[in-house]
Amino acid sequence: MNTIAQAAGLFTAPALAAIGAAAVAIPIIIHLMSRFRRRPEAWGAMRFLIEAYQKQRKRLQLEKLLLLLVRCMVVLLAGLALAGPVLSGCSKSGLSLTGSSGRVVYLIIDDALSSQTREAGSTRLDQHKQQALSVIDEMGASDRAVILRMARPVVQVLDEPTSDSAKLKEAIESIEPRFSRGELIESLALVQSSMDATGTDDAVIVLLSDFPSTSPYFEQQLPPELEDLGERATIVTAQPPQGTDNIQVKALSLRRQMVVAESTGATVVGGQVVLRRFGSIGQARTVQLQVKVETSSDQVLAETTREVRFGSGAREQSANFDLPVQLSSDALIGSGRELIVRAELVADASDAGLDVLSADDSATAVVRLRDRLQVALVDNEQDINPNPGELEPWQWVRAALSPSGRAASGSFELSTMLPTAVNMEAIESFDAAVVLRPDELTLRGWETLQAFAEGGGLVWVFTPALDTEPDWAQTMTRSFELPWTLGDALVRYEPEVGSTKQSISVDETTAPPDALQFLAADWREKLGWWSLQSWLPLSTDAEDQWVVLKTDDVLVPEVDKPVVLAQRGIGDGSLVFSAVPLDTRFTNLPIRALFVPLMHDTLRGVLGNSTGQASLIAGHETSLNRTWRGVGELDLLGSEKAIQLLVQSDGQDVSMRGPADQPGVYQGTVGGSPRLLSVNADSAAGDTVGGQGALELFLDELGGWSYLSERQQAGGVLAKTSLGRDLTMLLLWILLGLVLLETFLARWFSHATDHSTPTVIGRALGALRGSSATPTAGGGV
Amino acid sequence: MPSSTASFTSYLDPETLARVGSLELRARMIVDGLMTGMHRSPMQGFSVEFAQHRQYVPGDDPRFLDWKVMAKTDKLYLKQYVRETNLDLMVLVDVSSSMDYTSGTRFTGSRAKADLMNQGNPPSGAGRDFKGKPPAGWRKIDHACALVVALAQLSLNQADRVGLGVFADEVKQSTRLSNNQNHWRDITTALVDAQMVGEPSEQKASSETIQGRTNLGTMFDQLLAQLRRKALVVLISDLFDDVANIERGLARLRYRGHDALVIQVMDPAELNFPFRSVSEFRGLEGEGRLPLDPHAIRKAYLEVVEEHNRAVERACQKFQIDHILLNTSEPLGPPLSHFLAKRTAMINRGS
Repeated sequence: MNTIAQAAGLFTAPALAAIGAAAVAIPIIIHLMSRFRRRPEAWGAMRFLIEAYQKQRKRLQLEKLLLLLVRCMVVLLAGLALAGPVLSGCSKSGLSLTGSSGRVVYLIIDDALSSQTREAGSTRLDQHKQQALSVIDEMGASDRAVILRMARPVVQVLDEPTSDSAKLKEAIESIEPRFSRGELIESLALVQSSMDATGTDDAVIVLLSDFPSTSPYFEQQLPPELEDLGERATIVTAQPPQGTDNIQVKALSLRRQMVVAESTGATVVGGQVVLRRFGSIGQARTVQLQVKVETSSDQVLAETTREVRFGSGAREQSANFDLPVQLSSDALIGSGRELIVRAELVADASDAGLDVLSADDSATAVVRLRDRLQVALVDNEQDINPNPGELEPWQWVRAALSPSGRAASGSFELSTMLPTAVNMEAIESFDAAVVLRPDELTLRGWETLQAFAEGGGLVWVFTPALDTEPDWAQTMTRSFELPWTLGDALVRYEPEVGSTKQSISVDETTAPPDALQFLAADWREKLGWWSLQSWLPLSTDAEDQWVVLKTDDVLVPEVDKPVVLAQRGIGDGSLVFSAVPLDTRFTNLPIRALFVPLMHDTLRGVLGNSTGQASLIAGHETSLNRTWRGVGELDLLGSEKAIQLLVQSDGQDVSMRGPADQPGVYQGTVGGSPRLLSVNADSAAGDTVGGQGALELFLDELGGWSYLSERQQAGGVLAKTSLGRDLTMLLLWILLGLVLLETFLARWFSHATDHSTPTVIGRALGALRGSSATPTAGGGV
Repeated sequence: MPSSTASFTSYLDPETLARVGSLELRARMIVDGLMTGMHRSPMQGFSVEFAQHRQYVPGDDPRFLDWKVMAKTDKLYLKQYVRETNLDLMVLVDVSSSMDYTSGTRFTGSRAKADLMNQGNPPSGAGRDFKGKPPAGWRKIDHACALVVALAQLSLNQADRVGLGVFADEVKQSTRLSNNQNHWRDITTALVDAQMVGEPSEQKASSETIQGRTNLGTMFDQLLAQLRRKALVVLISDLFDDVANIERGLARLRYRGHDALVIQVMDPAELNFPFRSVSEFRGLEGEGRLPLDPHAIRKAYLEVVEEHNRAVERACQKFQIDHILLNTSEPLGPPLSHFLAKRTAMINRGS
């Protein structure tokens, strides 16, 4: 059956080919019947006839067979020509001289998130698989196929192109949906490289996807090497579906992924859930959103359910939540002091046909709980303030973070580290390093801090209250590769003569950065009291600026907008830089109400957003930060099937064997304590509306293409996939040649025609044959 | 008198003869037709016994004028004498099954007629209504028998002794040599008894007339033993036998000192093989069946026939025997004329 189906794929009308093959029996039957239809003829000169026959016997038999063969071929070729033959073993440029093994069919099957959209009782992926199976059925015996899964990361299912249809079908059937986005360009690039590697010049690329209208690949620049792909190969694509409604949890973002709280205390887990809807947005809709905080053992510590209303025309809506969580020792046993935040749609939107895709209806996040943060004070604790009774910078910091003076009390545990003693081994156990004497750091010390920040630590550098030239600033800039510009020396505010203003103010209109969102309520008020007398000029990118000076008061014209406080992400960690020393001779910050919350929230906020790596997007990155070193494997919680993520550590690099496909919360063990990692579906792939216009523009850039439906109406997806493969005309020419050959042979053998009335062809043939072959005119006896 | 000649010679046309019922009538027609157009005088034999007077007609030999009667009556009469036997004629007729063949009932279409016209031997007489094919039902044996009876009639008219041998694979019938006028009937009876000659209207099936294969060697052994003196032997056959056999028979005949005339009778279809459609050929002499496409083998067949006839011709020449190939669609005049010339030559030689 398989062979017949493959053979049928060689013809656009296989039934005609079968009839043509069966019609070969006609000349044979006529030949056999002629034995019974001979007229009896009594004959006297039989001895002469027998003698002549014996002389010509072999020739006559050979002629008969040859003529019969030619007549059979004429009938067969007529049938095959009418059946629309399609030759697999030839390229677009003509018949292959290298013994090509037929077409290579690249089946790109979209198994991305939107393929789980359920319509009419089946998912889109099921439809893609059915279409792929029908293409496999159409393949000829010499055709081979390659199956690619289009979801990120793109996967070639079978290593080599194969013509084994059973194997191909099994591979297609085994495809399960994934939760990442589709990668069309990457898939086509893979096809292109495969064609180049195998020298294939006769490929058929079948795109089976719903082509979400907001797919990122529609916005990407097409690589130049793909621009002629439509000319090199025949591209056939599924029709993008019409719009269907889907509501998804686009994002779940926590204000802080790390919360400092006592084991038995209370804390608040806050964040924002962004909902998005696709399809018809003309009408207002309301959905129910539930947010829960739970432990890894499914114990719910807090939850809330609220309605989220989409106004008419609104595509996105966000909802903030702040869930007070009462912690208890029992609840946190075995949890590794990590909590799971789960946001999901619980409204019956799917019942109302408003949500055809349920795979993106929830998202998770992980909150780490810490009793206190470990902070290293990089300082030699020498007195540098000449004014008696004035506090030194390290004293201001200690007063702000650990007012009780006990090392293990409060939210911070402070330890002093000499600048010359900074090394990775010493600093690795800290969450943050507050550098008060950067001028005493060695180059190795700076490199250590840079590595510390790369690994997720927070490095907060204060300008020292010294009048010396800040050579350390250049070293810091180089070590952290900062795109900042720092001044060569501290500048001092010089008030105009007669002015009562003895200091410069910061710009209180500046919005608080994300890490300091908890200070947003009275940020402007507190910021308004901050003034400076001296500072190190600093210019940074806009996104790195936290607090800047009022520009109308700036007395340093060469600096466009002096920055007082700046922050920049370094790897998984951060660098915070204060351009003003913690010294009352330079600024009033230490004695202002802003100072303590600024210190606390900077450490909590920056570390809360950067410490650890607790969330991934399905199909995206495979690398983890160094906090995951030694984890081994991660198991999906709450899954019936054992699903694992394998993690390998190579020095400082930690990576998974492959991107996580299945969303959910995974648990592993780091340093003997449990650790959670949340993986969420790629919400960008949740668009259930097909982008037909965008697709057509995209495919036009590739060159020639056609829709699958058009192909099927024209006799099959693989039928007449290239000009060089249609053998109808070739067969018709061969047929004409055979008819002429038959006429020639019949005349030559004198089996069929009357020589007394030669036709034009007969005269031509007679001229070729010469007079010897003409019948004896005069009796000859 | 070309018109009268044409009307006389039409009696020798097979088509005319075929319409005549009995052999006797056929013989008279042939002989009369032949003699009417010829000079009468040479037909008189040499004899000493006076028979009758006949009025002189221009062209008669003046040597035979009866001068005495002319002196008495002043009229010209010729003296005629009772002729003496001066030649023995043995006619040997082949009645083998192959002689039963005729294509006269086969090729009746216009195309077949045209084929025979184009491919057959050209007509021998000007103005003849020659069709190029034998008359319907006119078999080779019919042609041979007409020739036999004509020869017998001619010879008996001239007081020659005539004998008949009918043979196939062996001698079927034979008559003694005699110059009795009634002997002609014996010859006719012998031919009929050989069951080869029937009424023209009769359509005998081939199976009924099979007489076996031609075997000249056996025949010559059996019949030549009857000839006590040198004779003119006329062999009428299609000669469908091995040339070696024919040559052997002719050699025996010549060794015994006989003169001979070989008349080979063939149907025009056998000479031209004008068949078109695929047929199953069935041998009349029991050779079996052969299904084939005639067009495919025609050339080879004609070559074989031509080669055979050439071999026969060579064999006859080797023994200085005249050979005539007679097409059954052709009139009987040429062979009879040839016979008379041959007879005259023999008599002149004194044999």
